[in-house]
Amino acid sequence: MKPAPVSKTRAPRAEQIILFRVGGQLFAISSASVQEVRSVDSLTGMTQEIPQSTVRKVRHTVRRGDTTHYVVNGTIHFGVPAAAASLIFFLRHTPTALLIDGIDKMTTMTYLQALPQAFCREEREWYRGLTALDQTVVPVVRPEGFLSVEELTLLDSTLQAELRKEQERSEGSQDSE
Amino acid sequence: MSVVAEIALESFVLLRLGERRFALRAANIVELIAPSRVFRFPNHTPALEGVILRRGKIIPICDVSEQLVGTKMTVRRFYLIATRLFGMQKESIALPVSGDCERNWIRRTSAAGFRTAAT
Repeated sequence: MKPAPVSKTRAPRAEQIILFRVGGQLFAISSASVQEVRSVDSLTGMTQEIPQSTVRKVRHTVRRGDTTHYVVNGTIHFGVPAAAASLIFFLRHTPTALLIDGIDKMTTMTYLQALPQAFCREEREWYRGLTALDQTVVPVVRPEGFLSVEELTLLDSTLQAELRKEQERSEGSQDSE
Repeated sequence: MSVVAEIALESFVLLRLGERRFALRAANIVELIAPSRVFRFPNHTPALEGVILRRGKIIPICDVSEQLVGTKMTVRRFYLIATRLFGMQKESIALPVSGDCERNWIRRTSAAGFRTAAT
């Protein structure tokens, strides 16, 4: 007697996501990509301004442990209407912190459709794909898509230059004393 | 000898964009559907205005009226779901149309890159 054939139907892989808003627009991000969520108010005194930032969407950095996170203004990144950010996502595997309006909820997605090929500009870097939740389509963001390698290089060099200037200033003031 | 050379008799779907009509090969048409909820999200691709959800599939809406007739369509009665090839990959796109569509056998002719259609 032949053994019963193994069923080929697989349960869809579920992924925990956070639904959040930037400029009123709804987005999703894998909760595994978010290291920490903090209130913007709690960062007072922890941020450092980049006065000569060459990347318009990044104006501040936050130092956490050994890592410097570049604070990305989500509304400028996506080109959506400006809104007051109340929360900040510290993302994993990328030195990016994202300013957001707020979190709608945490949920599970079981389906992620690749971004249709018809979308052919920067959005291909921004999104992992699209998901349908409660008859609504939500773009799922790619954490590495907020800052390109070129932007990170520019920011790193700007930061280095700022540090050098600061060192020179402090050395100058010591000499004058 | 005529400049216009007859190529073949093919099945096309005639669609209306504003006051003008265009033909699309019937083999590339999936269905004609009533407009449904459009989901918009930030993107920089021109002519793409969002996506619709159709039988669990997410389909981008591509409004080609501006390129074809010079003005953006204000009235849209249907979405014509067509397939488009991206390399080897076939994908569905929704084309907003402003009037009824009809399937017809058309003699496709070409004259110096200009196509005319007659039933």
